[in-house]
Amino acid sequence: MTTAGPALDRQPADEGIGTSSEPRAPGGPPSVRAAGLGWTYSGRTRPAFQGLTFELEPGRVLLVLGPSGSGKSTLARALAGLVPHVLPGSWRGHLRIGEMDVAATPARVLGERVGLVFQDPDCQLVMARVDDEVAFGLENRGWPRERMQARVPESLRQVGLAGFGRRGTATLSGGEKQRLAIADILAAQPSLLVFDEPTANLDPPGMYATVEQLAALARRREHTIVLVEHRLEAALPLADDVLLLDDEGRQLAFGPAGSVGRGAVALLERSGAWVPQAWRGAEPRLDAAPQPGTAGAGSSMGRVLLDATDLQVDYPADEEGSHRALDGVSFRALAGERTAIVGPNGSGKSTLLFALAGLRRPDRGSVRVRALAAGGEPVEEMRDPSRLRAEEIARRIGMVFQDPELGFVARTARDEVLATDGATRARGRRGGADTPPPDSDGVLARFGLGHLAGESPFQLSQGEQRRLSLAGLVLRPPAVLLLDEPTFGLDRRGTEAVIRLLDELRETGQAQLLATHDPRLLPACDRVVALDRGRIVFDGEPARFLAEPPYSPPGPWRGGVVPTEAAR
Amino acid sequence: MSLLPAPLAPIRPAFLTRVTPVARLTAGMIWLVAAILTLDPAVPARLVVAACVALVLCSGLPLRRIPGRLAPLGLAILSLTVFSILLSGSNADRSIAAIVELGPMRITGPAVSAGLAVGLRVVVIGLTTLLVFGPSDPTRLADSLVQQWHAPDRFAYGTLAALRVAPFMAGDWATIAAARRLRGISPGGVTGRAREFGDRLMVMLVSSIRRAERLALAMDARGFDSGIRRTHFRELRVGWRDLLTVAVALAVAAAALALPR
Amino acid sequence: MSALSATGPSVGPSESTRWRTVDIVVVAAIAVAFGVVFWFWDVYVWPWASFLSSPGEYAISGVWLLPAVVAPLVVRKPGAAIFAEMVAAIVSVLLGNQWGLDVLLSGFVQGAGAELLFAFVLYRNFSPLVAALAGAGAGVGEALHDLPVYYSSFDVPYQVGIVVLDVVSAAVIAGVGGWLLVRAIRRTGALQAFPASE
Ligand SMILES: Nc1ncnc2c1ncn2[C@@H]1O[C@H](COP(=O)(O)OP(=O)(O)OP(=O)(O)O)[C@@H](O)[C@H]1O
Ligand SMILES: Nc1ncnc2c1ncn2[C@@H]1O[C@H](COP(=O)(O)OP(=O)(O)OP(=O)(O)O)[C@@H](O)[C@H]1O
Ligand SMILES: [Mg+2]
Ligand SMILES: [Mg+2]
Repeated sequence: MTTAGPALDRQPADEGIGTSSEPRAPGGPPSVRAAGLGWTYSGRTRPAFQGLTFELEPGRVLLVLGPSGSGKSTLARALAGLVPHVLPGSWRGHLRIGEMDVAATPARVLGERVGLVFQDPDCQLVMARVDDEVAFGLENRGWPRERMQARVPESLRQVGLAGFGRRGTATLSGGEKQRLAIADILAAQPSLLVFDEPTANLDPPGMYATVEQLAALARRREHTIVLVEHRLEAALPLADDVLLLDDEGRQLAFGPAGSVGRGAVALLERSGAWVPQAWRGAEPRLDAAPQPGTAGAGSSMGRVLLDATDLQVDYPADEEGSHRALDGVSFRALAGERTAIVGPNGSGKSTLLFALAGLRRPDRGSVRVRALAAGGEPVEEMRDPSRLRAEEIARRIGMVFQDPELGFVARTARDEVLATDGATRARGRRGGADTPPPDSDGVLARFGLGHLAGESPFQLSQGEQRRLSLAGLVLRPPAVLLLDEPTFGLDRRGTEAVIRLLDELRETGQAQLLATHDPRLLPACDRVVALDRGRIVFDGEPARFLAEPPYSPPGPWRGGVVPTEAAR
Repeated sequence: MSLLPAPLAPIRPAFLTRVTPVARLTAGMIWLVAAILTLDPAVPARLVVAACVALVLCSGLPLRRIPGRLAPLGLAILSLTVFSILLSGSNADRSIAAIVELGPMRITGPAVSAGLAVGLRVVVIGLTTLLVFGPSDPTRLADSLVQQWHAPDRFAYGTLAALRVAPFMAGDWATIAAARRLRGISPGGVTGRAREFGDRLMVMLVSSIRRAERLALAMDARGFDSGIRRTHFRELRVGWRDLLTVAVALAVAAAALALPR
Repeated sequence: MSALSATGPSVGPSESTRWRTVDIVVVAAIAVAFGVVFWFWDVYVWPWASFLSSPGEYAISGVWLLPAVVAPLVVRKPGAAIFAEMVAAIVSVLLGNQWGLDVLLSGFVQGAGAELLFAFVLYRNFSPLVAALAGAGAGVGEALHDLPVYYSSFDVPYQVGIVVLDVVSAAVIAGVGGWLLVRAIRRTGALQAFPASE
């Protein structure tokens, strides 16, 4: 089926509704009705979603749930008219927002009624200064200057950012950025608000503040709200209705939150999405979570593989003075031990990983690592990683970056696995026949990537990319594995897959350190190290950390429950 | 993590911070043209003096950070001056007396003077650039280009949006380099290094393109391509300061060119 | 099919030359990325190269012309070469390099050199040959700017040598190198929002 919309969208600006600089009165929250709705991106064979049929009454909050790739973001884009008016593809069925048919309404008309907040704050802030940023959407819609000058501070106040107008957007914390993004869309007074995982990138305080903001909006009942969110513990208390999608983008269920929820636990579990604790009536739990201390390669368990003493890292001074990102951090990683490194945004987690990997030489203190022999026994004396040659360091330390794409070194998934170890290639060239080629396809198959061996690593989905970056470390597992936010953006199935792979790698006696914001990972670790402003503020067992987190506000860290203030 | 230098921003209000960016740009271009019109070192030397005076009196920039900012110029000026002197055409002209004569190599007076002129040109360019771009940020530049020169606004603000991605790119570049080192990749030789440069560039471009696509979608969601005529939150008007700036720049350039040596 | 589909039958001629938001931001981002690389190159690489081998450093000068070839190959829209070179130039100025304001001039003539070639084939042909010629065009633009500004005092044989090095380096590094780079990027699937060929 072909849409009629885009042709309309391309008409010159000086006709019709576009020229009215006064936006029309909000006119109350609209209803949202979908009938047989489907969308396929051009170039794809599988629809992003299909056969969606639901009715959302004005002023209600709809929570959209589904595993990764089920079309949740695409649905959010459809509600804002980006699909079908900006992105190419084919449209099926009907979607009505109030009296408007999305496919037949020009994007600029939709844009006045609908506001969309995206997942990643860094990819939706356009201007360098906060007030310019809020004004950006108003300028686009032709608001007169006087109205903008009144509206901008007003919407900043609405999200608790009063007085931030002259700040640079780059200097805001993650939580503040996300609230700014909400102010951006509130400024234009839309009546349908769409949030696509607004808390995904935030640390607990930032997430807490954003959820609080959403709760405040929901309470006012002035908007119809559609919310896509993986962190259900936080989102569920806000939802009136739930729409459940399966991994093919088909509608599994739609209805009031309470009734759909409990009935859908089995469906959700099967589809690999996170299941809210409230529905399951039990502690959130990772199926793949091993018992601490049982893994590891027998004899070598407990030997020190990495030893960092008194690390201090200063970033160069700017106008605001120098940053001390790490301040006297001492740390030892033992063979077979998995440690979670937690802490708010900017507490120094990534800096610590970089320093441990020898990628950032500390201003004070030292790092020493050793390699593992084939059997998992530590070999050689401890060495400073920043002084090692590339081939030597690859055997000692491996790192999975927050954005796995940046770490890919080969053109195909197969080569990515083989590239692990430059030494292997060099030997292959010299020694030739006597070393059989490593079984790269076997490794890929074990990681569920067998069918993708010939694909470019960049073509894979987020979850697949993360698994591939681990697969690249298997043929010659490094003694110490560092992971920066390894489960970022993954659903339950993806997270479990990563944990399983980590378990497998740990069999070699590897020491693993993972920096994470996700409290659900902690039970799968042996130890938690918490950083705050560059210092270690906690070092101990996960259970003890979860019971008494050293942060305020504690928010979701405490057993995964959002404080009642937000839940009301 | 960012590798980029912190932008040089004014620390106090000053005359030039209240001049619209396009006026500063016009004034800067006038000096630039004046500096490249002749091979007489006196002209760029006078402009260097004028630029220093302007920097101190009316730029509002933190003067202590300026030498560090200009440091990369040093080597470029040195090499350009030295080679301009060595390779000058007038060295081969036997009718001009040599100042230095070492076997086949001779250096004449005109060669030295032209070399100095070229070196000083680069200093003029560096200082003028600070005067043009230092006193306000890229947002004001885009505002000014759109409001005064009627630059196409979608291009101006689209570029501004892409500019916000620059710090991430610098971080990406560092991460890419780090990742490759940790994977044991350290190619040697000229071709190996050129390949490595190309590979890194490829990964960085892919990640930048992905970011840009997401940003463009977010901009469209906020009505960027709606076809409605954009209005301006912040208005920039041409005032007497702008006219004065351009007039003074013209006068100084004319004087630098016309004054006898 | 949506009317906005890049390859769909409903794409009219006006649509294919109109710059969408994604075209603008992606070209600008590519240019910004090059601007960052240029800044690094200008500040840390070029001074040494030019000091050690001047003016032989012109053999690697083609790196500066990459955006003028890469951007048009990605979006295939009129004006991409000039737009990309100018943005890359502005970025490297804003970060602070030794060429300063002057790169605005050189960026423009370099972009224009490549732009002329793509216009000559009516923005229809993006083969390696066209890319190499466009690179060479940008190199000619570069030489036209640099000779009067930086090398006006050089002896004529040296000036000729610089022009030749310039153009050859531009055709090889910017032209062929740029084409290879875009092919590699295309293979990663990052260019699905743009017109495809091959
Ligand atoms: N711009 C695009 N072009 C082509 N295909 C796309 C595009 N965006 C998404 N897709 C594909 O559409 C499908 C649905 O993606 P979507 O992003 O909507 O999923 P999602 O439910 O939001 O997943 P996640 O939880 O991982 O964010 C996926 O197969 C994805 O690869
Ligand atoms: N290159 C840099 N230059 C200056 N300051 C930096 C740089 N990189 C990080 N910082 C600062 O150092 C501190 C620690 O940053 P780091 O990235 O290690 O934090 P993090 O705990 O990983 O945060 P997040 O949870 O957001 O990833 C922060 O205050 C940050 O702003
Ligand atoms: Mg999504
Ligand atoms: Mg981090």
